[in-house]
Amino acid sequence: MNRYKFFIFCLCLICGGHLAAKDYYATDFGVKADGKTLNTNAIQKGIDFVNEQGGGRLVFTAGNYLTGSIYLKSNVTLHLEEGATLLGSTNPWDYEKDSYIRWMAMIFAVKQQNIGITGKGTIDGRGFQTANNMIDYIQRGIYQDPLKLGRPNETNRPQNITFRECENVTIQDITLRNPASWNQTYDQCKNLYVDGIRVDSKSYWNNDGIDIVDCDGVVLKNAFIDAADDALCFKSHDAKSMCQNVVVENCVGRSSASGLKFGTVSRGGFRNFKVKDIKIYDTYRSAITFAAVDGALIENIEVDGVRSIHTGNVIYLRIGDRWSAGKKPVMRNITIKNVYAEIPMEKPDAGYNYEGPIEDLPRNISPASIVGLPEYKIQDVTLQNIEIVSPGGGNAYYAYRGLAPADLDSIPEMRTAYPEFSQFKELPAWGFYIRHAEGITFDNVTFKALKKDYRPAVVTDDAEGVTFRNVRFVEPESEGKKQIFPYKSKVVKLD
Amino acid sequence: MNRNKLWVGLIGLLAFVTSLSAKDYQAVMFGIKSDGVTLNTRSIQRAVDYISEQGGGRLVFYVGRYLTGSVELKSNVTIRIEEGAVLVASPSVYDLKGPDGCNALFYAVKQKNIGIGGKGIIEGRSAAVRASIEDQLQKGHIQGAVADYEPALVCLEGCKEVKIEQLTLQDAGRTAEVYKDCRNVTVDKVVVHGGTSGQKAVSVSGCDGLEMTDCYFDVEAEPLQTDGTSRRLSFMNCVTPDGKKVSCEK
Repeated sequence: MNRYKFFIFCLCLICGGHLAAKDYYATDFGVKADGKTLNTNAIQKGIDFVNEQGGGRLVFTAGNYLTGSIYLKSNVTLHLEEGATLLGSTNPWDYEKDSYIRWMAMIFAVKQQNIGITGKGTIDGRGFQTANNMIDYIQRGIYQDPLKLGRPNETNRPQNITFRECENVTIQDITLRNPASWNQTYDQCKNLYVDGIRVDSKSYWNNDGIDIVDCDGVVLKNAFIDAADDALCFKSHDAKSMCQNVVVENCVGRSSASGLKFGTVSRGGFRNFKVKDIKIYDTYRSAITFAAVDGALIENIEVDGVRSIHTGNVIYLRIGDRWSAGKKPVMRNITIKNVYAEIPMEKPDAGYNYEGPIEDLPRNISPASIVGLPEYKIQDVTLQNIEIVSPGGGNAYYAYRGLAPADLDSIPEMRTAYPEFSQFKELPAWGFYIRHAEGITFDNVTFKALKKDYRPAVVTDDAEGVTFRNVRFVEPESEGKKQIFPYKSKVVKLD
Repeated sequence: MNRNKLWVGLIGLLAFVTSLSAKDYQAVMFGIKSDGVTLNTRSIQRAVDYISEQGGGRLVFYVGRYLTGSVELKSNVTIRIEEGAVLVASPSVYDLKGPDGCNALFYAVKQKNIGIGGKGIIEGRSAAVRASIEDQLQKGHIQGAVADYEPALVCLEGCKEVKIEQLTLQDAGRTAEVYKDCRNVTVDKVVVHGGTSGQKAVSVSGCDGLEMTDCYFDVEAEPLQTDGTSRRLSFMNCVTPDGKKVSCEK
């Protein structure tokens, strides 16, 4: 018995000793906090040294630390104290384009364990200048890039953080700013814990907030993200991998694209998600976009608690067939509940850097949508306790899609297109449009239009088992208007 | 190794040169920025001048917001504003100019074979521009009336062979499109949103041959202004939000 206790005591001592990792100071490796000295090699020496000593924290005290690409190693945590900033070099040559990952980044980690970046300090990529310097190199012909859409390819601009195939990753309290490309990518990582981060990511094109790709075991909580591209973004690049076992809690997102997004690259899938209490505001596209356009399996997803304020669209679920390569897309068993959404008449993200592109005109306010494909239906979606306030006011002379079979059949399938809520241009409903779906339940849902619209609130097309329970419609000057229009559908209305 | 680099450099240079001789010119090649913050007036003007000097072509703007003051169009140059691209007016009165009494974001005098097209947008930011004008008038730094300075989005004088197509023109401080003494103008699938500015959509005077098709005019005022000095005007399927057809017959 005593012996057993002693053993436990020793074990605790060992573990405790390991957890209370040793601190090393970056300045002891000759790293300068002057914002001018390029510290790449000195910081790398610090990381390598701490790793060789068995692990610990490399601590950056207040100051500005200029750096290019560095590689984080097992058992090392970069700790940025309040007032400390890792400042990205604005010279693209100072960044590696990693031969395995094939992207550029400031902080890489590849196949490492027990790593982290913590503290109240900042990582500032200064991406606008870096991206524009890259354009200069390309125009001088000393770097090859087609400059598609007038910008260097996103793999030719540095991210702030790119981790690949790592285990036990902790990202805590830090602020991430101004990447030149995506901001932070965690790809095929296991046990990823992200807590209390702040993100200001709108200095250049494709500035996502966070990209979690094919990770297993993820906690993402207490994040504030303001991003030009998708804010809370989950992707699946590998058809044999998946984003799964994920908890997202108490996050705030602002985006000139979508708030919470699955995709666009969606090969393997997204499974077992629990999303609780997210707020999305001033967001150009959808608060929630789940896209299975590259063969993804999306199942067992619960979203509970969404406030979507001054945001262009609330829910967009889409199956497509873009890069599926024969893999069959599936989307089923999705619950979205306790949602309040306000959609503005004007552009939701006006005035933010790198505003979302105005496209698919002419088009009146677009409805929330669930759109599958004829042979791949979206299955078993429950929408519960929801209120959507829409501006309404759809004008048939500006853009028109009627309810005649020819009108509804004229809506293109767009199997291979990039999935966005606006992609079909004018849709025939102001509140919700459902096509190629089965088992869709609306329970205690209010649709409210602030102005009279020429369209009904809801149109279903090729939908089976659509149930409306306790659903209300509010639209001015529209007494007696038939607000649910089923077409080739089986719809039940219960009150 | 060095030799290799030289080769890469030479090939790059060659690619650069051949791309310049093509008919389409990317805005980014002229240092024009899509960030909505950088004022691009001089870069855009340089691009237009350059393309015109080279014998003509299209200046292509891809997705993004391009802040600019007034730009003068030159013969054989087409401004191509692709879907998702917005050319945004600078809100300073000092960034605006145009032919006598017609400040405009895009203007031209006696040019031929010019155009503006694409599914993009030209945005006038009338309130911000007016605020700048009023402020400077009040301080006495400029003289006259607000209306003397407020810009159209497109003002063409004495131009020939003009094509305006697919654009959305919004929030202009004066009539969005002004055509004066022009010949052979076609305007196709143009949407004008006036907002609350109370401005007209189109003004035509002294023109010979102007054809407008499939346009949508969402303005508070009467959309069209003609003074009887033009000939061969036609308006096909141009409507207002209440479905009324626009025509020049009064």
